[in-house]
Amino acid sequence: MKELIKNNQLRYVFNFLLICMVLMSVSSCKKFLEEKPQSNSSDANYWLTEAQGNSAIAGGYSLLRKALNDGLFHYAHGDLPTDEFSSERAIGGEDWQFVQNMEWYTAVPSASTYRPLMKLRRFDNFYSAINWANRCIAGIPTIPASGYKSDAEAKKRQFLGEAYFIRAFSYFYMGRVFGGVPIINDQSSSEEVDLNSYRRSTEAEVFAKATSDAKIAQSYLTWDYSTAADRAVRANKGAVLALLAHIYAWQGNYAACETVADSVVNSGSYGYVDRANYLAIFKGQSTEGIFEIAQNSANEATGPGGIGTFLLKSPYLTTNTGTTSWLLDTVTVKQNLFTDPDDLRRKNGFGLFNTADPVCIKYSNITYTSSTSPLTMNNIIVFRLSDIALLEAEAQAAQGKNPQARILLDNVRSLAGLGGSTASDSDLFSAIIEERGRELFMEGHRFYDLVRLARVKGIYKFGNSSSNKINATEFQAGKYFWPIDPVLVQANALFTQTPFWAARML
Amino acid sequence: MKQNFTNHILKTVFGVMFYLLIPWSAFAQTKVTGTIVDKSNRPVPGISVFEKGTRNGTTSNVDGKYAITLSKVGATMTFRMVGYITKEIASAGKNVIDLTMEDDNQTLNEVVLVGYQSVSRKKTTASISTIKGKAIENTPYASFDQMLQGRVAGLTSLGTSGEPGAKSVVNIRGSNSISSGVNSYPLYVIDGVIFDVNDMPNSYGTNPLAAINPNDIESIDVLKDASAAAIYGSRGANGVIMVKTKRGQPGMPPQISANVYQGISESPTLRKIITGAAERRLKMGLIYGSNRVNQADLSMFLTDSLNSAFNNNTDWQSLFVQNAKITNADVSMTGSEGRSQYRFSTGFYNEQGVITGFSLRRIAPKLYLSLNPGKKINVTFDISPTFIKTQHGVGDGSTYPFSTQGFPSSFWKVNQAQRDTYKGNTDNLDEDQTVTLLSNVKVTDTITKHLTITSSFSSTYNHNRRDWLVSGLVSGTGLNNAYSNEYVTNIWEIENYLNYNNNFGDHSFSAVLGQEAQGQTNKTTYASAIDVSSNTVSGISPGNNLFASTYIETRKRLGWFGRLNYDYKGRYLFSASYRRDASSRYNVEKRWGNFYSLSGGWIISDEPFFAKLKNTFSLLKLRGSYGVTGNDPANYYGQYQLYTTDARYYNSSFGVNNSASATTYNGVTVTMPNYEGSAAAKNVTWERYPQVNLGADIGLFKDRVNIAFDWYSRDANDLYYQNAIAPVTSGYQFFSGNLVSLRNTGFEFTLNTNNLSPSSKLQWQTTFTAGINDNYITKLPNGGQDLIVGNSWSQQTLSVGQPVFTYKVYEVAGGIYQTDAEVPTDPLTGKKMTFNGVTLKAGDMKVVDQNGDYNLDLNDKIPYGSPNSRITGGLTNSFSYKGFSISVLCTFIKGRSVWNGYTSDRLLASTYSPNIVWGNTAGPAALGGLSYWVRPGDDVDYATLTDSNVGDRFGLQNSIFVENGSFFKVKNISLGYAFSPQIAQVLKVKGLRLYGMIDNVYMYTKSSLPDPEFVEITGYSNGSGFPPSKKYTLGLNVTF
Repeated sequence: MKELIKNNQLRYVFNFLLICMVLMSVSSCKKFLEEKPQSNSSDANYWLTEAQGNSAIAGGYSLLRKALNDGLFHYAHGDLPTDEFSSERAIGGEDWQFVQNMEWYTAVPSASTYRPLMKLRRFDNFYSAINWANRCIAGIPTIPASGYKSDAEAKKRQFLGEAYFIRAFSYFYMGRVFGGVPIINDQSSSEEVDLNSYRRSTEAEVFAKATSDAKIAQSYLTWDYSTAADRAVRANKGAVLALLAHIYAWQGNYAACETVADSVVNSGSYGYVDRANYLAIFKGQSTEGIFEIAQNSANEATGPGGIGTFLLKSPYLTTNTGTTSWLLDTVTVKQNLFTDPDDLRRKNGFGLFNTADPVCIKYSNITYTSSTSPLTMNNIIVFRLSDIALLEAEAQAAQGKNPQARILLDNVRSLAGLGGSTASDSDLFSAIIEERGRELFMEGHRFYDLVRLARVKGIYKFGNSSSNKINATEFQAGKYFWPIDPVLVQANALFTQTPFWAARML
Repeated sequence: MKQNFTNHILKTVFGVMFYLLIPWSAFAQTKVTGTIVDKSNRPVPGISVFEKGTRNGTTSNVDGKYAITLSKVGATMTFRMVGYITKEIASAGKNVIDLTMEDDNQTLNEVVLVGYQSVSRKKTTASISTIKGKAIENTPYASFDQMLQGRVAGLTSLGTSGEPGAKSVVNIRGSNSISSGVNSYPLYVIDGVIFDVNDMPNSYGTNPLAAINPNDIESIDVLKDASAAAIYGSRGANGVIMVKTKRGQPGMPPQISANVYQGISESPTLRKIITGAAERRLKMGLIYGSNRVNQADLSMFLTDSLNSAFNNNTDWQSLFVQNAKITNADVSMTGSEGRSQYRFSTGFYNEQGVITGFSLRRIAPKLYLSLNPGKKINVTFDISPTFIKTQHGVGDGSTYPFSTQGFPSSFWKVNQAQRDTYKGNTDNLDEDQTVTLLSNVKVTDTITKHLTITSSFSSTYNHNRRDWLVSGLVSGTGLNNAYSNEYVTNIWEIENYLNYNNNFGDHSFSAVLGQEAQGQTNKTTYASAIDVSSNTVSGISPGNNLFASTYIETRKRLGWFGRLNYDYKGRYLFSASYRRDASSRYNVEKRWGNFYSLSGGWIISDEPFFAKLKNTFSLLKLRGSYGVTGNDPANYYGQYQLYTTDARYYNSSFGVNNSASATTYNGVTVTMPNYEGSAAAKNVTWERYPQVNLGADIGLFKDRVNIAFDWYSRDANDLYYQNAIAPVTSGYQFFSGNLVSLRNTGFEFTLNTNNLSPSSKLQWQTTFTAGINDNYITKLPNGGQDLIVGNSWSQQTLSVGQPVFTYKVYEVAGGIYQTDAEVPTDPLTGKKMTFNGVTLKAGDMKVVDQNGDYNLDLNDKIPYGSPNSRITGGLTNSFSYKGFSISVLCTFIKGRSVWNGYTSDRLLASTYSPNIVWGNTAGPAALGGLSYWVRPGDDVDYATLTDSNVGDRFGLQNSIFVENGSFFKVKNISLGYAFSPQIAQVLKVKGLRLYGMIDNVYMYTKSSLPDPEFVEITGYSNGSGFPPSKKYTLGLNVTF
C-alpha cells in the first residue's frame, strides 16, 4: 500500500512536470526560437550607438580604399595609359603592358579573377561602397539620440553627409572611367540584396547623380572634422566641393567648377606644404590634403604589390635591386615635364633623375618589418589644394579669364621654385594641364587631365610622340572610356559594351 | 570459480543419477534437460522453452542450459526467442535434447525501430534495411559507418582516406549536397538520441561517429523512404540510420564477456620512383633531347654528380610508411537484478597509421541502466563518455610533408635529425583530443494497458581541442608556427510523447503523439602564433604575431509529431505521420515547416485465396509510400546579414609572415557586410524533399529465399545554395537562398538466401544487395544557367539534367600531334589551331575544338562524368559448419568517375623549368610507367614533358584525367571458430571463440589511382591522401 502511494506520487510529480514543460515550450515558442548572431554584428543588432555609426562610415571609406587599390585601380587608370609611361619601355608584371598600350580589349579567362586587367574592367567594389552607403543612409537616422555621446543632430548630419559623399564619389569615379554605368535604386538597400538587373545609364545621368548626391553631402557637412586625426581622410565640406569641382570640370561646366573650386581655395582651411618638404604631402594628412584614402599606418599599409613596389627600386626600395617595374618614359619626364633643374618637384619628387631609370619617390615612405618585407605607408592623395587651385585656373582659362588663371598657375609654379608661366593666352589651358602633369605626376590625375585637354582643345597627348594611343577619331568614338569585362556582359543581358570597344571585345 | 567447479561436479553427478532414474520416470512426468547453443557454439541464454499447448515453460540459463518437466511423455517442445528461428521438437521420450538455434536473419517477426516506437517488420509499410551488430563486429575501423559498404541496398559508404578515424562518405539513395566537397550525411539516431554528424564541428575533420564503439552496437536500422523518415521531419531528408546498442535483458543472469583482437595494417605499396644515378641519367637524357632547355642554368643537383651534397640516393617514401598495429579490447558486463537491467562496457581501440605519426586511440566506457522504481514507471539511463586522442603527422596538416607535385628528388642528403622530423618522431607535433559525452535519461509511465507516456532528456557534449606546431623544418618559411583550435558543442534535447497500442477485433492501432525541443551551441576558439621558440605543442606564449578569435553560435528547434499505424486483419496496412518543425534559423514567417507521409501495404500472401501458393510464397507484400521530409542546412544565421571588420584591400599587409590583417580605416574599426561573400537570404526557409516509394517483400520456400525490391524517386526542392553569382550592381559577389532543385531516382534490390537445407550441418547464406541511383539537377537560379564551382583548372558544374558536380573538361581524343604540320589550320585565317591564343605544335594533345573556332578556350569544355556512383552493392557469403564460420564480403561500385590528380600532378611536376626544378624534385623520376611524347612517331598516352606551348596540357581540365572510378572489392573475409561448450568448460569459461579477419583483401579496377574508392568527396585524388591498407587481425572472445 505504501509503495502504491509512493508510486502514484512519483507519477503525479512526473506528469505534472511534463505538462509544465509542454505548456512552457508552447507559450514562449516564438521567443524560444529567436536566435540572433552573437559573435558578429549584423543588421539585426546594429545602429544603436554613435560608435557603430562611426564604424559603419569607416567601413564605407574602407570600401573606397578597396576600390581604388584593387588592381592598382587609381594609378592603373589615372597614370599607366598616359605619356608618363612609354610603349617602348616594357612594363613589368602581368597585364600592365596591356593597360599601358590601351589594349584594354585583351581577353582574360573568366575564371582569372585575380588578373589586374579584369579588375580594371570591373566596378564591383564601387557598388559595394554604394550599397553600404545606402544602408548607412537608411540606418543612421535610426540610431536613437541616446546612443550619441555628444551633439546627436550634428553627428548624425556628419555621418549622413559622409555617406552621401561616398555614394557621389563612387558614381563620379566610375563615370570618369567607364562613362555610363548603372544607377541603382537608392531605396532597394536595407534588408534584402538587390538582385535586379540594371542597364547602363548615360555618362550625363551618372554625373547628374553624382552631382545631386554631392549637393546633399554639401548640405550636411561642415568644414570642421570631429577630430584632427580625421583630417583629409574623411570627407568634410571641402572634400565635397573638390569633388564637385572635378565633376563640373569633367562635364565642361567650367563656370560652376570655378565657383566651387574657388570656395575651396579661399576657404582658409588648407595651406600649401613647403615644396622643400614635398614628400610630406604623400605621407598624407598634410595641410594641403583635401581628400585622401588612409593607408599610411602600420596596420593599414600596403605590402609587396602596392604602388611603391612598381615605382621604386634600391635604395628607395631595398627589396628591388633591379630596375623599376613600371619604367617611366624618360622623354616625358626629362624632356617634356621636368626640364627645369630648379623645379623642387623634380629635386624632391624624384630619385636618380639623371640616370636612364629615374624613380618617382612620392610613394617611398617605406618601413621594413623584415629585410624582405617592405610596407608602403603613403595615403592615396585623391584631391589636394594645388590640384583644386590648378583646376580653378583651368576653369578660368577655359572661360577666357586668363589673368586670374595666371595668378593661380604662377602661385603653384612659384611654390616649386619656378618663374611665372610664359605661355601665350591661347596656350594657357594646355600650359595649366602641363602644370598639373608636373604637380600631380603619378597621382591618378594625368589621364583625365588629358581627356579634358582633348575635349576642350582637341589636343591628343596620350602617349609620347611616337606612340599616340588615341587619335582624334578614336577620341570622338570614346576610346578613353574603358570597356567593361565580358564577364559582366554575359551575366547581365541588359549590359552593353562600352561603344568604342564593343566590336573589339570577344 | 571453485564454487562453479563444484557446481559442475554436482550437476554431473545429478545428471548421472538422472539417467539412472529414466525407467521410473517414463511412467509419469518426463524431465527434459539440454544445452542450447547458437551456430557459433556459444550458449544461448534466455530462450523460452515451452511444452506446446500448455503454459508450462522455462528459460535457458546463462550456460544455455534448461530443464523442463513435461506433463506428458512425448510432448512437443517449442524453443523461441527473438532473433532466432523458432524450433519445435518432439521430445519423443528423450530426456536430453541439445539443440542449435538458427539465427533468424530475415525474420519478419523481428522488430525494427522507426522513431519513437518499434514495429514488427512484417507490418511495416516503409523501406527499412537492418544490419545486425554481429555482422560488423570486430572489423578493424574506428567508426561503424566504414563498415556499411555493400551491406544495404541504396546505401553508399565510401572511404575518403585510410587515416584512422577518417570520415566516410555515406549517402542513402544518392547525394543531396550542392555544396562542393560537402556530403549530405544521413541522420544518425543512437538509442533514440539524435546524432547529426552534419552539425558536429571539430578541428581536423575527424569522424564524429568515432565516438561510438562499433562493438557496442546490437543492430542498425536504415530508414530509406519518406514513410520511415518523416517522423524525423526536418532532419529525415537524407535518410535515417537508427542505431541500437546492446542492453541487458530481463531475467538474464550476469554475464561477463571479454573480447580482444590485435592486427596489423600492411604498409602501403610505394609508388615507383627512379632514384640515384638512374634518375640523373633519365633527366639529363630528357633535357638534352629537348630543344628548349638552356644548359647554362642547369641545376647543380643534376650536373654535379661528384658532390656528396647532391649525389645521394635517398628513398623518401620509406621514411613515412610502416606496418602499423591495431589493438581492440572490449569488456562488458550484462545482466539483470530484480526488475532492473544493466550493461556496463568499456572499449579500448588503438590504431596506428600506416603513415608514421598518425594514430587514433579511443577509450569508450558505456553504461546502460533500466530501473523500475514503481510498477508502472520505468527509467533508463544511457551514459557514454568517449575519449579520443588522435595524431596527424608532422603537424602541417598534410599526409606526407611533400605533395605529389613537389616530391623531392633522391639527390638530397637527409640527416638523422631531418629524418626524425619528417617522420614526426622528434616531438609531439600534433595532438588532437576529443571528449564526447552522450547521455540520455528516459522516463516511461504506463498510464493504462494501452497508453504510455515517455519523457526523454538527452545531452550531447563534444569537446575537441587540437594543438599543433608546424616546425620550421617543414613550414617553408623556416619559422616555427603554433596553432590551437578548440571546438565545444553542446546539444540538449527534450522529447515527450504518448504511445498508444490497441486491438479491436481485426483492427489494430498504434499511435505516437509527441513534442520535442532542441538547442545547440557551438563555441570555437582559434589561436595561432608565428615564429615561436618552442619545438612542441607546449602552448602559445604572449608575444608578437599572435592571432586569436572566438566564435559562438546557437540554434534552436521545436517540433510536434504524430504517427498512426493501422491494420485490418494484419494484412491491410496503413500508416500516416505528420511532423511540424520550427527552426531558429528562419524568420518568423518562414519558421515553421510541415512534413508528412502516407503509406500502405497489402500482405497478399495472408489472403485466403493465396493459401494454395503458401508453400512457394511464404510472403508476398506490396507497399507504397509518399511523403515529404526536410532539411535545414542553412547556416545558423543565414537570414541575417552579418557584418565584418575585415578592412583588407589589394596587397594590404602587416608584413610577410604576419597573418594579421587590417580591421581599421584611419584607426577606426570598420563595419560592413562582407561583400566578397554571400548576401544574406532574409527569406531562407526549409528545403523540402517529396519522395515516392513502391516496394515489394517476397519470401519463398518457407522464407529460405527473401527478396526486397524498391523503386523510388526523391526530389530535393529549394536546396539552399550559398554561392550563386550576384549581379555586379548588388555590391555582393554571391547571393544565397533556396535556389536549386535536384532529383534522385532508382531501384534497390536485396536478396537473402539459405542455400542449404535448414537441417544441414553445413549452412550457407548469401546476401546480395544492389542499388541503382540516377541523380540530376532539375532547377537552377538565373534562368537555369550552369553554376560553375571550383578553380578554372578544375571546374565542376551544376547544370540542369546533369548529375551534381559533373566534371567540365576539354575532350582529348586521338592522341598526340606528331608534327607541327598535323595541327589543324583554320581555313578562314590560315592560322594554326591555338590554345587560349597560343599555337599548338608537335607533342601537344589533340583536344576537340567543340565550337569550331580554332581556338581552344573555356567554351570548348564539355560535361564529362561525375563523382556520383550509379550502381552500388555487395555480396556476402557466410558459411558455418559446427563451430567454424567464414564470411566473405564483396562490394562493388559502378558508373562513377574520378578525377585523377595523381597522374596529372606527377606529369605537371615534370614540366616546370626542368633544368632548374628537376634538380630539387623527383619530376619525371616519379612517373612510373606513364608514357609521354619525346619524338615524332611515339605512340604514347601523354603529351611532351618539355617542348610545348600549352601550359595546362597535364591539368585536370583534360578528359584524359577523368577516369572510370568503378571497382569490385573483396572487402572483408572473416573466419571464426567457437569451441564447443564442453571444451569451454574444461577451460573454465562459458564460451570461447577465436576469430580472424582480413580487410581490403583484393580490388579489381580500371582506374590508375592507387585506390579509386579513396578520393575526396569532389571525386578528386592527387595520390597524396592517406592510403588505405590491407588489415589482418586475430582475436579472442571469452564469456565468463
